Order: sequence, then structure tokens, then C-alpha cells
Amino acid sequence: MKTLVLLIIIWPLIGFLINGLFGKWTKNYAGIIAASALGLSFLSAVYPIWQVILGNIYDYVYFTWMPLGKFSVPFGLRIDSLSAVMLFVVTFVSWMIHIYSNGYMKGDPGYARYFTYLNLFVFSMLLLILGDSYLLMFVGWEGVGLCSYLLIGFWYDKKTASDAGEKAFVVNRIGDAGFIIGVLFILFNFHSVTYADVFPFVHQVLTPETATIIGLALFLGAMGKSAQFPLYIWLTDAMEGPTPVSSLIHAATMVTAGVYMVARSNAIYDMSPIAMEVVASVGAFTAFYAATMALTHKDIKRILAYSTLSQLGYMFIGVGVGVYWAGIFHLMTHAFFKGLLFLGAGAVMHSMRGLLSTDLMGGLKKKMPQTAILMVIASLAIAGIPPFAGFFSKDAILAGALEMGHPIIWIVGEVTAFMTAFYMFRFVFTVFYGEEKVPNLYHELHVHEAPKVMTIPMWVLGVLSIIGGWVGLHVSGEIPIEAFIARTAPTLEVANEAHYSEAFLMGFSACVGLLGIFTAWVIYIKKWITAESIANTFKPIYTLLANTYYVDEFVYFFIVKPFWWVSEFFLWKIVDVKIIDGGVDLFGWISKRIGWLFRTLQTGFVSHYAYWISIGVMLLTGWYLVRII
Amino acid sequence: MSVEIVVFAILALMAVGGGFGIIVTKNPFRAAMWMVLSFIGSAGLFVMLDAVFIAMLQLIVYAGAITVMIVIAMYTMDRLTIASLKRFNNQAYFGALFGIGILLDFIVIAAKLKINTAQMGKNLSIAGSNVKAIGDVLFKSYLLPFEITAIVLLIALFGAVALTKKDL
Amino acid sequence: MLAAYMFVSVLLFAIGATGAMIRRNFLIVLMSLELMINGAGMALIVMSYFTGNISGQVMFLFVAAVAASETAVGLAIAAMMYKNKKSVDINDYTTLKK
Repeated sequence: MKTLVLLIIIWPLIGFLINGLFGKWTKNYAGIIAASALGLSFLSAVYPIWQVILGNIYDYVYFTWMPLGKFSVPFGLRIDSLSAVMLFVVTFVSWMIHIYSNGYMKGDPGYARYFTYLNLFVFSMLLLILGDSYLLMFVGWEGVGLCSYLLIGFWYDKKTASDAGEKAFVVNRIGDAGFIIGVLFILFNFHSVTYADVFPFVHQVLTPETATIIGLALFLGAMGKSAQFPLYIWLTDAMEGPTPVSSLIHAATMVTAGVYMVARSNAIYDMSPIAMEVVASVGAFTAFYAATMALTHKDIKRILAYSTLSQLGYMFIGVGVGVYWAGIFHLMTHAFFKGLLFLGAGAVMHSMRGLLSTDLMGGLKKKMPQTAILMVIASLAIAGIPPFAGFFSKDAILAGALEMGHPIIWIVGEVTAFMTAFYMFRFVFTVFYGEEKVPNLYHELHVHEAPKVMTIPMWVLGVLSIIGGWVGLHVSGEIPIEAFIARTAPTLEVANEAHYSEAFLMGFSACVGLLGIFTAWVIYIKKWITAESIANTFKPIYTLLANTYYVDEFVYFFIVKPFWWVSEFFLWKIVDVKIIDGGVDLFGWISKRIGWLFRTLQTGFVSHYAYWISIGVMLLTGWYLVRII
Repeated sequence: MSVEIVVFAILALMAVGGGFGIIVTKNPFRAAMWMVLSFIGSAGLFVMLDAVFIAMLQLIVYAGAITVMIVIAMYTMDRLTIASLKRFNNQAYFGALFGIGILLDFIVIAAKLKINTAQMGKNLSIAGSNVKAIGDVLFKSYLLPFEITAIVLLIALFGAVALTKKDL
Repeated sequence: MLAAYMFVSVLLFAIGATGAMIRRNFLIVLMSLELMINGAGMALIVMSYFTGNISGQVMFLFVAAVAASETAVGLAIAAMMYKNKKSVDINDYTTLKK
């Protein structure tokens, strides 16, 4: 069993090494190798996950990674109910996307390189979720950050892509600094970073104040990685990478690492109401804010990117109000339907030769029937229509928020749910329904259905998008997924829990979703009200949204520009040139002076060296004489 | 007793005078001759100190081999180039001063030495043979240093050959 | 007598050292070095006699061997010096500075 658990993370590592070292020769088989590595990894994970469902917890230590005197960090892997859910999502969705990538990336010059990065990403991600200490999690955390950077800038000869990669890296670094600070605080307080040494002793060691500091520092890391306001700006630019990457890393797995980390640290967050309030509020704000921006965008990948931000906001609401299981549950269902949405967008891009604007599309249903059906399924799931997966998880989060006493967050969530349903169906209606907008464009581009190697993974995810939420149904008085996750991340205990009729809440959520779809249908199919007229009526708001609140411009003028200015006129011309270079020059000057003294002794005449030797002899004998006299 | 002192005085004068001759003559060939004189004087002193074998060695190795080597090396060079050199360095008085300093230092140390002379002149030969006594000690107590000395000589040989090789 | 012998030995060493320091001709410097080694060797012989310990004489053998090696290498250097600059004046060779 110990070996089996290790094998889960070893398979992607082997795939990475094969493709990384021998990419030149594996060229056409790189995809098959990578996908089989992931398949094996998933198969290795199935039995441990089943055992965990039956009630076991595995925590194996393989070796001591860092022996540092009194404190040492072991290299250990831990599978409990929380990491089991993540393990299933990561290995399975990654496997599907690896298979899909075989078709999508066909013919790309960086084929082997792509799969190398992808396998390295999965390895790091598995390390992140299976590692049994914060430090191991941090290794995975940085590893996925690196892979994200590499894959966003995968087409590095494109300026926008490499810029986007850098942006992602820099923004993530801000978050990572917070994460490190948090881990250092934990180390300082507990003298250990393994979960087993931290969580059981939280109440003895931490005061609410220190818990707040640690919680906020860790959440800063989560904000960077999971793209919460205001560190979300990298995620939309990350869409420069290949679409399967957007699907795997920037929708299904990596960006949810922050949610996982908060859920994992539930013992710390439970002690600090302030930190939880911050998490929930930031989540709610991001959910609403990102949804408004998704309303007006015309680039299909960016719409999905904003939608991802919004859904991540929901997950943070879930973990922030204390119903950790709902956050993780939504994470899982989101991985299925958002992965599918991106894969569908990828299929559209693939046949449209990289065109992304909704203005050029319309009526694609006739050309790509399978993709169209799948996209409708995924959109229904994200809009929260029963019995699709998203309904159960989103409803669990919003009901949880209400029960935990956060009615404002509930209202924000419902409004966001309406917007989500609207913009997703706006997307579906404008792309797949209606008439062809540009005559003969499809004929010229030979638009066709995606090959089987791409549609089959999409169907698998499509089925999961329908049935994936059914684990959230009531079965004999309890919700299976809740009971399962609550073993590791128990729901926060609140003194006076509010109770609402569950049927009413569910019905309300479903109605909100349907209303959103109906609005989209009215505007984009029936055209009773045209989108243009609405845009003209609310011109200022529309412009603001279309320009994504001018956040990039704001960042540019108020952060990047002053940063440059300070760098150039203060750090470079004063600190660097005057102080640092001057200081270095001073030392050079001093040693030159001292050197001058000794240099004059070096005449090069052999006899002069003999003089020095004889002086030395006289000094030694003189010292000896002084001793014996 | 007085004969011994006279002989000692003559031999010591030869050794020291020869040494002095080396450092003041201008012509290196004459310096080599002074060196031979000095070494012969030293060899005589060694005989007086019951070191007959060493005295022979002194004559053969120093006065013979080394002097011949130096003189042959001199023959390969242009006589005028060598002989027309200025005698002393520019700051020769410093050197002389330091030499005197070392001399005084060592004299004081030598004067301070306390040697137990109870065994004076004994143990230096086995059955009247000095060579036997040296061989006995050399190959019993000093075998390893002896072997190492052989290696040192070999390396010196390599070094000398390597230095004078043309394309090096 | 010990003092007299030691004085000769020390005097030989000091003369050799002085010669090595003040002379310009490399060959004479080599001879001066021989003189120094001889002075040191004489100290060994003197001590061997006055303490009645034959090890001093054995030690002289090693000293002689070192002296021979030193002369061999020194003369090789002298030959190279002469080949390069047609000079054995040590003041023409100030490359230790560089």
C-alpha cells in the first residue's frame, strides 16, 4: 500500500522524465506516454481512494527530507477524505485532458515539451495535495506555479503569451510571499510543519490573534494562486496558453489549490472568525465582480476565465463561512463542468483555426453537434439547473452561507447565480444557435466536428457534469459527500444556526438559474430586446464592464508606472549607482590602497625576497632567544 | 693538544676563508676554486670529528661532483657575459647587515646550547669502522627516509631534464 | 672546542647567506647556497661527535642528497636563464613581480 501511494505521484514523474529527457525521440509518442502515465496514476489512486471511502486514513513517511537539528521535515504522503476528493479530481480530470491534448496539440512543434510540462504539473499538483506537511505543500505549490508560467508562455515566440506568463509569475509571487509568511508563523508556533503536529494542537498553541495572522497570511497565498480579487489579474491573461492548459490548470485543478489549502487548514480558520469573514467576503466580492465582467466580453476563452474567477469566489464563500465540504464539493463539480466548457471552447477554436470572438460565430450547432450538446450540458451545470452537478454544490454553498448567518453573502450569491446563467447562455446562444454571422467563413475554414480523441474525454466529463452532483443528494438522512469530507474538514459549529426550508432554497436557486437562461433566450434568440439597445441605454456601465473596470489600466498607472519610476530614479540612479556601487567602489579603493603598500614590497628582485626570508629567520630566532633567556 | 688546536685553526681558516672568497671574487670560476678550498677545509674538520666516511663523501660529492657540475655549466656560457657582471646588488649593504644579524643570532643560540658531552667521541664506529656504524644506523633506523631520498633525487633528475628540454 | 666548531659552522652558514643575498651572478648564488648547506651539515657532524650519536652523520647523508638535487635543478634553471636572455644576472629576472 505504501508503494502504491508513492506510485501515484511517481508515474507522472516518470512521464515527465521520459518526455523531458528524450523528447527528441519520443516526438509523436509523447502524448501517448504522458496520457498512459496519467492513466496509471489514476488506476493506482483508485484502490487507496476506495479504502479511504471505507474509512481508512493513510499517512506514510518515506524518508526524512530535511533533518534540521531539533526540527525535521519528513517526506510523507497523506490520503484522507479531503485529499482523496482532490486526488480523484486531479488524476481523473488530468487524464481526460491529457487524452484530449493528444488531438488538440497534434502537429505543434513543441508537442513533447507540452506533455513534459503537463506531466510535471500533475506531479507537482499531486505533491501539493498528498504532501503531509505545509512545506511539502509549498513545494507542490511552487511547482504548479512554475508549470503554469511555462504553459501560459508555451508559445513563447508570441509576445503577449510570454508577457502573460511573466504576469502570472509575478502576481503569484505576491501570494506566495504571504504563504511563506504563514508557514513560518506555523513553524514558529508549533515547531513543526506536518499536519499531524499542527492541527490537533491548534487550541493549545494558538490564540485567536495568531490564528488570524496565520489565516490571513495563508489566505494571501490562496488569493494569488486561486486568483481572488485583487490578485486575479493574471488569470484572464493566462488564456494565452493552449486551451487544454486553461482547462486543466486555470480552471479545474491548480487554481483550486487555494480552496484546498484553506479547507486543509480548517482547524486554524475555525479559531479566527475575522480570517473566515475575510475569506468569505473576498470570495463573494470576486464572485459578483467577475460575473459582471463576463457579461460583456466577446472572447470565448475570456468569458470562461471570468466565469472561473466567479466560481472560485463561490468556493471561497463555502470555505469562508465554514461549510468546508460545500466548497470542496463545488470544487469537484466545477472541475468537471468547467473543464468540459474549456475543452468545448478548445474544440471550437480548433475548428475555427484559433478564432475566439463570438462576433464571428453563430449556428455552429449544425457543424459541431456533439460539442454543442456537451456545451449545453456544461452550461446547465454551471447555471445551477437540477439535476446537473453544479446545482447541488452551488446550492450547498448558498444554503450554508444563509445557515451560518451571512444573508448578504447569500443575496450576492443568488444575484451572481442569475448573471452566471445569463452569460453562459449568452455564450451558448451566440456561438451555437442563430445564424451564421459571417457568410462562407465556416466553408473557408472547413469547420468540422472535433476528432474522436477529443470528443470522448469531453463525453466522459459531460456525463460527470450530470451525475457528479448526485453525491450531494440526501441518502437516508445524510448527504454522503458532506459526511465524507467532514471527517477531515468538519463543518464549523455555530451557536445559533439558522434554519430555512431546504426545498424552498433549492427551488429558489433553480428559479434564479432558469430566469437567467430565459433572459438570455429573450435577448439572443428571440431578439425581443436587442443587446445593442441595452448597451446603449446603460452606456457608461457597459463601457466600464467591457473594459473590465479599467483594472489593468489602474494597475499600470498606479502600481507598475510608479514602480518603474521608483526603480529608475530612486533604486537605480541613487541607491544602486550611488550607495551600492559607491560602497563596492569604496572597498575596492581601500584594498587598492592597502595593496599599494604591499605591492611596493614586491620588487621582483630575487635578492629582496632573500632579505625578507632572512628577516623572518632573524625574527624567529630572536623570538626563540627571548624565550630561552 | 696544542697540535690539534693548530690543525683546527688551519682547517677552519681554509673553510671560512674559502667561503669568504666565494662571495667576494668577481670571476665565478675563481669562486668555484675558493669553494673547493672551503670544502676541503670542512672535510679536514670532519676527519678531526671522527667522521671519516663523511669527509670522503664531502670530498667526492661536494669538492668533486658539484664543483665540476657548476664549472661545466659555466663552460656552456659566454665567458664575457658572465665575468663582466657587476659584483654586488644595489643594496648589498642590507644583505651584509642581515648576514651579520643572522650570524650574531646563531652565535648567541649556539652559546646558549647545553650539550651533555659525557658521550663525547664514543659510539661513532663499530669495530673501528665508521662506515659500518653509519650503514648499521642508516639501513636499520632510517630506511624509509633513505628510500624517500632516492625518490627526491629521481624527481630532481626529472626536474632538471624537464627544465632544460627545448620545447617546454 | 664545541664552541669553536659551532662557530665555524655558524660562520659558514652566515657567509653563505650573505653571499646568496648580495651577489648578482646566479652561479655564485648557487655556490653560496652550497656553502650554507655545508655549514648546516657541519653542525650535524659537530653535534654527532660531541653527543656521541652517529645519527648526525647519517643525517648529513640526507642533507648531501638534498644539496645535490638542489644543485642539479638550480643549474638547469641557470641553463634556461642563459638560453632565454643570455644572462645569469638575477636582477635581469624580475618576473616574480608579475
